[in-house]
Amino acid sequence: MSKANAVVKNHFMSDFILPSKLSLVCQQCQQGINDIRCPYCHCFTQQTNHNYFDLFHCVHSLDIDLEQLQQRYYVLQQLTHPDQLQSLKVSERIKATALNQLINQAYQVLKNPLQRAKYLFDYQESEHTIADPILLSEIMDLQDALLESDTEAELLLFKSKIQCKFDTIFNQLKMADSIYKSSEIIRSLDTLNYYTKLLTQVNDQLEKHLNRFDNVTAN
Amino acid sequence: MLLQISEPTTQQQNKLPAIGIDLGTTHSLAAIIQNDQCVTLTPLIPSVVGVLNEQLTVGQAVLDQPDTMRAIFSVKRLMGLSVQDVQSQSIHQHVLADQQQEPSSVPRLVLGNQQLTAVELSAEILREVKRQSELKLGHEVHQAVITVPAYFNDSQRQATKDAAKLEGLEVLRLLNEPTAAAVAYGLDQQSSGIYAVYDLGGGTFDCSIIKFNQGIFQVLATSGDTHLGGDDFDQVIMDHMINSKNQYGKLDLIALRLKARDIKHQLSQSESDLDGCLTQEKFNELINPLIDRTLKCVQQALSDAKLTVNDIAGVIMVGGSTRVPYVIDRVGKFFNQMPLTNLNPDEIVAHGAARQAYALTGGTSTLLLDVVPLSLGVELMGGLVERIIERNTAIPARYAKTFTTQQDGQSGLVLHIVQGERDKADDCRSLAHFTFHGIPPLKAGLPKIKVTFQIDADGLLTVSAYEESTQIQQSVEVNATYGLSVQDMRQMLVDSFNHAQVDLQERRIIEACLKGKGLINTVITACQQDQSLLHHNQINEIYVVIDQLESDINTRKLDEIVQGTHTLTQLTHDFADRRLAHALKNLT
Repeated sequence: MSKANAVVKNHFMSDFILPSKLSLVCQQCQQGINDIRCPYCHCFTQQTNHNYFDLFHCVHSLDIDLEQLQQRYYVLQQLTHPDQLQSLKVSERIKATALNQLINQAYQVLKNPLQRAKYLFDYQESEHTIADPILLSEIMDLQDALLESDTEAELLLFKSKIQCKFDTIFNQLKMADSIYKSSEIIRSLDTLNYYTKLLTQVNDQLEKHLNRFDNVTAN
Repeated sequence: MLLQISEPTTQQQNKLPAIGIDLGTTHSLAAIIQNDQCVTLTPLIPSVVGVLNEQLTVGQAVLDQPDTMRAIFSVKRLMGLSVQDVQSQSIHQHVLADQQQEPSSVPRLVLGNQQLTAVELSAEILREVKRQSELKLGHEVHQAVITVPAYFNDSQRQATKDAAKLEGLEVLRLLNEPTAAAVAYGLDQQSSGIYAVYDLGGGTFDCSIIKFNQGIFQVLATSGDTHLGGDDFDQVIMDHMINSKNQYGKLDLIALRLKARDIKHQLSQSESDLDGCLTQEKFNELINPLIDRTLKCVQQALSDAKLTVNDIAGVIMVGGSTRVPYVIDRVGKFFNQMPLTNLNPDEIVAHGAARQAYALTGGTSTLLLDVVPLSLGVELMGGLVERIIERNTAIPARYAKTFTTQQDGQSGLVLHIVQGERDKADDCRSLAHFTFHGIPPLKAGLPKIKVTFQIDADGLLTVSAYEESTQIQQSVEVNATYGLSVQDMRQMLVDSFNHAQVDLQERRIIEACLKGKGLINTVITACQQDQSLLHHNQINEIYVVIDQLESDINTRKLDEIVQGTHTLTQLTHDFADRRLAHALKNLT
């Protein structure tokens, strides 16, 4: 799925968003099926390159129902977890394990907002550097602000500020993902990506603070 | 014959039930599910291996002997460690076979005139657990779920599995201890919500955040310290006794350790120990830094799960060390709620293991979704770590990353596989080195080598590498550097055959006991059901033989048991015929 296609597809989807499902053909009995296990011959599909949204019966959108996502995750786990399938043939168990690994990976991506966005818009971080001058100057300012935050309270305040900025951009993207141009989406993702890295930095700093505090009390 | 008529339902089962084993630092324990109830199969067996009458012995008998120097404690703390690691530990330093051993080799420990590895010592403990379970159950045990601390790394897990393999046990699953506890608690209480498990055992600390939902146990995050536990509480008491120069300072190290443990137990019950050498207040002060360390792990797990203490519905306390009142107190303050202490902290893990063993052999549909405790990655040029699987990723998992060459025409790539959270490879646990050959001679940066990490449901890692243009695929089962090499394993299996003579005798006795017990049970049931077919003199005669056989079984006299079983079979032969005739008559 290329970036341009993703955007076009969302244009079309915006009018009638329906949860999508898998559309497969069972390799064993050649029936058309819409899940990873054939309801007719009970064989698992060999295919492991399913679209994450289809696999989880979600709309191709940033705005997904997390409660439903988890319910579907449990259903898929019941279906494919190795513990549930001790009595099956080895070949079926191998197929199920490969699917189970995919399910774990897909769930990890879909439940995390930034990763979900990156997957939806097929965003490759390494492919481009940040070029937007407004974003670049914001990055400089934020880095300075982080350097100046020394106390735990300051760091926590900084953290909540970044989190707030992240949420704002993410919500804008969520509302407008079908009308944004591809360049606008990439810019938003660049920004979200940077905020996430900054949050990791802040958390590291906070951890160091806690450790230093421990040493003081120990002495 | 008697057996066939009297109880047609108890046919020889093809599949024997699997048991759950808690292989602990200080105690080990086995349990099984029978009629939906959890039954403990053994008493708490001290995880101590010693030499008694020139024989390796496990359990209380070792503690009771006067010569405590000939015993090895807390073997679990040595699992998967190198000589170097052991030298830095005060508890086991003195038993290292040879201080000159290669720092990265598998450490051998002196016990009597033998040198044993931690894996072999653990196998001894498993053997004792298995023996006692078989005696109680009346049949052999082939399969088990064995628990490990959630924070065990790949080497430590592999070592545990190796120990079971040496003892001939098939490991259905290595189950994380806090997860086991959560399963036992969750199923017993039928609860739902997010729970924290605080598991402070003899040698390890684990904290897991687990969500219970419709029979599914989903581990959200786990954290811990594999070298923090009740042993360390003993250590601070020992240090205190040595420093305060009281009468105990002169005891040898192991005796001092046992005394310290004794004092700790007393202080968990009362304000001061019997000899008045330590008050509870002073003890609390001494262990305070240790509890701080556990709470830091708890905080880590909570942040990883993106939760706060307010999201936690209950705190399940596991492990003997959670009997210390100050621990309960601090944990309660941290979570703003009273921890759940109405469970037996020593037994809950074994019960969870038994539940899982039952589920895995088709008993129930409980589903556990566990995570990998530590990140896994490879070392890059310059010694930095590229993480491939992040900690707290749900397992089974499969993740891949593509790497390339540094120099033109480079034909091989050394993959150094490491586990840990630090950025530099030197600070992480080294798991394996794996060389990938056969890269086509291309310019640097052009070859694409896809490295795939796979973790199975036991949390064990397999690594494979794939070069696209040549389609060469190579894979390695990560036999951890500090675990056992295939050669070591083979040597041990050879050794175990050499020991087989002793084992064979032992096995014969067990088999004879089982056979005798089985016959006694059948005869007694038959006598109760068809008393009318026998003269009371005949019944008395049968009971005399049974009494004799029972006492022989208890004293484990092989020849007498075989003889007694034979006599009893002969004696009841006629009775069996009559029962058969009687049963047939009733049928027609």
